[in-house]
Amino acid sequence: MVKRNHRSAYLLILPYLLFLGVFLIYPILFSVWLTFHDWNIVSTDIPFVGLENYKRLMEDELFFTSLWNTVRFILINIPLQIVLALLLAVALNQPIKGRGFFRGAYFLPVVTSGVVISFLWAWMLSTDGGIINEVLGRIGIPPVPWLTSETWAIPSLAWVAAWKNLGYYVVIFLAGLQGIPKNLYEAARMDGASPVQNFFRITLPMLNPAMLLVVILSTINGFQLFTEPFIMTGGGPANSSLSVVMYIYKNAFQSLDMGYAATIGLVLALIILTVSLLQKRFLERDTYY
Amino acid sequence: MKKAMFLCMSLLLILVQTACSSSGDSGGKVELTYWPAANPAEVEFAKEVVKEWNKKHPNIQVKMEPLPASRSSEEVILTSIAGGTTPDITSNINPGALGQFIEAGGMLPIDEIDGAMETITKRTPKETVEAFRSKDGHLYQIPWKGNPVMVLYNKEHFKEAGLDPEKPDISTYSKFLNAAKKLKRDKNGDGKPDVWAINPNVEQTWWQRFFDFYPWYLAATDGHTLLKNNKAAFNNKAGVETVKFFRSLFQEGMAPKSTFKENLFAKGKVSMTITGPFALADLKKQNPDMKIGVAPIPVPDGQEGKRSITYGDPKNIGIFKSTEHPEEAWEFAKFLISKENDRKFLEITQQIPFRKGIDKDPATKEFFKKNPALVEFAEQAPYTRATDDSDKLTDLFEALSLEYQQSAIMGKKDPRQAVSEAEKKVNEILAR
Amino acid sequence: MDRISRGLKRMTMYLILIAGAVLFIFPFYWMVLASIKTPEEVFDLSLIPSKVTWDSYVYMFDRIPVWGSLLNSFIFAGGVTLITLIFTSMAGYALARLEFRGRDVLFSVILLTMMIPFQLLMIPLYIIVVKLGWMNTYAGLVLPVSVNALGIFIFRQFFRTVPQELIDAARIDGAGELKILFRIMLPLSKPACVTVAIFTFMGPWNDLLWPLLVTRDQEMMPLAQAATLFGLEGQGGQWGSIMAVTTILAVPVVVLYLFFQRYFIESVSSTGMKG
Repeated sequence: MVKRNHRSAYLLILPYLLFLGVFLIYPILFSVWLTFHDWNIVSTDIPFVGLENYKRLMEDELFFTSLWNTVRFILINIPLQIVLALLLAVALNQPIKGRGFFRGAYFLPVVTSGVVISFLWAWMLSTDGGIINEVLGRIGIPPVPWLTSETWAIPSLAWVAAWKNLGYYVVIFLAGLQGIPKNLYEAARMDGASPVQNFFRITLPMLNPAMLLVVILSTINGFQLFTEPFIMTGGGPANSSLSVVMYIYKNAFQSLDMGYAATIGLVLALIILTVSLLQKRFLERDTYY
Repeated sequence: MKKAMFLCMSLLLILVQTACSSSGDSGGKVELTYWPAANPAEVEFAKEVVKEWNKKHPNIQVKMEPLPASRSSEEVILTSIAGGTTPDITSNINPGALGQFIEAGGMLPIDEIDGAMETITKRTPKETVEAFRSKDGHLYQIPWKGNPVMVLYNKEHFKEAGLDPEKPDISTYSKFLNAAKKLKRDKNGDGKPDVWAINPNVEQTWWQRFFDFYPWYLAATDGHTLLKNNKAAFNNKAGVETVKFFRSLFQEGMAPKSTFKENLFAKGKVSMTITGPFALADLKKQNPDMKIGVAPIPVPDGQEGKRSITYGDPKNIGIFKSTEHPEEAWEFAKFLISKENDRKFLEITQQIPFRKGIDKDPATKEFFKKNPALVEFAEQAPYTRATDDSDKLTDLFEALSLEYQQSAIMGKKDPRQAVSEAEKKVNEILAR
Repeated sequence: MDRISRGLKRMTMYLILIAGAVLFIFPFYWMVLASIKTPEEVFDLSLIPSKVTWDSYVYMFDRIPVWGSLLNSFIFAGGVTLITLIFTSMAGYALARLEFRGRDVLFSVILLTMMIPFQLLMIPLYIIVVKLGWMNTYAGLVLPVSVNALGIFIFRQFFRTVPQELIDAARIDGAGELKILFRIMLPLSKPACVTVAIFTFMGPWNDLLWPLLVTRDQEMMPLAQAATLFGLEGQGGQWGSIMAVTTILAVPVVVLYLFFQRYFIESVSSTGMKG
């Protein structure tokens, strides 16, 4: 029996491993190889350039601009997401009617394509004629160039991404809230604690693991920012919303600079991996989740 | 076990098969794929021409596929060269980006085809053809048509603003700006303009500068392009004045600082727009009653007097190296640029083919008479320039575009500083 | 006093929830509304159009092959889902119920691959597709992105709960492992299948980046890509027709979501994984 298990087990896993090898392991090695070469994908002559691509990266202002844009995006996106998701999750956690409906409504943008959401919000945020500015105009606020100014482009994108993912994080927080033992609150009530005190002394600390999960997931997500700026701003104005992934795309498909594009991809992956590893360490320290 | 394995394998096979079956056999017949530009008028022209060709040539069938849409058609062509998915022939080659296509090994030298140069120079003035020759001495493009960039204006608006609708004096920067100030209007009194004077594009996309900075710069320098001896040559008075001009338009609220999806000019929300003759067909469709005037690009004060030079926005025909039927492709190209089809092209798309004496031809005369706006463009056509021949043109314009945007549109950088930083960046790119 | 403050609290909670619901649902309403308004009314703030018109849809159908693109989307998302379901359930079964050498190492390696961001792979995968001649084909679109460790993770988890007696009984009847998987394990694991299918399907259906790299031919483009290029095209694009195409893109997934809402939400709270 055990022997039989052996052979069929390998056979069962083989197709998946084939995929893994061809479309994951090989590309990773290929990617590393590419970073040491200069290739436009067409020419048969592929010169080895050593660390040239890495050197260029370190001196490339535009790369750092795109990195800074992405980091700015994350720094605005995360707090926005956490505060709103927490607010909605706490409200949903009350004994109320229609919880399923509300939760379902919040989740709607999560399942919808980023393409849909980007166009929808690009339209709502357009400076002239967009609904947001029209409504603001009614209360006397002059039109804000949401997507066409250096100041507002990244915050606007951060808001749109938060809007898209909020429902997802509401569900995570809700699961976290429901896992908090009720007797903690009862004990606190005996001591005469106010609901606000309860929230900061019990709820928030108990939600720590969920919070970390949300932070890490949105960080990883944030570094992969592409669809929203690609559609809503094209990376502008003046590269103020160019994301790292857009910059990879640009190098690869506007300049056919595959070696350099792969180099940026590798560096970005290392940044993301470092963040994920930090996540793992944080999460493993807490066995709650 | 075997059954399920079989299922998986056949699924894989189906997927792989669809990958390989795309190059089906045609049984002695030659099939060519042709990419025209994707705008409606050009697609209409292409449809008619291809239909006629296919009727006449049962053994060389042409399949027409409009150039797949994207932010830029140059990117589409470049990636199709990279991906090995080029068609046989396209009529949307931007000479400015051609260097990149050649560098990627995608283009077929036209001058090596027997009799090609003869046919081409018979149709197009020799110096125009020579201007399109690449650095290596070969000609990789068949000159096809141009779209001189000019200023369109709404005569009705000019009248309302107290300006002469027939011969408006907007030939210099200060005259232009004075007129623009009058044209900007706040009709409902809410403190923001509802009708702007003009709408230069605010996007960073590199080729958008073909419709603001570049023609203005050409006009101001009487036709000098951006590079000289493979170095930036635009850090001069003309470059700075050009940026200053657009800066005034944007910073004094005469031009909107946002992007629009609809055609503002057709909707009467803007009084002037910068464009080529290709826009006329669409305008007629969207707003048939509109009275349109055409004016040349203005020049800095004190330089007026002669016709200003502008960007010609040329688009040419190219044959890809990947084609298995270069001769048939050339035959089809010849058909595209025949006298009858040039006339048809002019009438359908309102763009100007590079054909000697097109505006004097008795057959087209009638058409020009009915479209006076087009006459202005045809007269401007000899006074145009293309772009520099560089395989890094996209990157160059991108760098320039960035500085232009920061200074003119966002009003942050001083124009002088912006132009000199653009010069620095362009030289860095050229040295790479 | 206590009752009043409790009532007040409930009121606030409802207000927050309703404000939230409006925030999330209204934009969708606004999108559909724009697609059926007349061009003159598109920029009005009116919440009910004075006249319904299908012009935007007609215009859009005129400009892009919507049905073909929808079919491409189904083939792309369906193909990835099918391959993932078959191969990850096989691997998940082996990892959950069969003893073999290197099992735990293999599982950790597979889990580790979940952490590889797509951005590292996109350039080499694109080059592989080009060199295989898979540009503008379904194979190029589907196969390279059909590696999905999440499926293995979920199936493995689920298969471990199936009683051993069922498997033993089948073996005594002479069934092979694949038969056990497809006849016993999978039918018992419908929730796992639905979860994996939904999560896998949504990814490619909504994806823009990968199709952008490997399909440059209008006839092969999935709808998300076709819609993007249609919307970004400079000339002639109008908000009404852009909202029409995004509406069509959103409908299938939203319908799927309404039917399987429970699975969508439960799988998030149980796995904490991003689809």
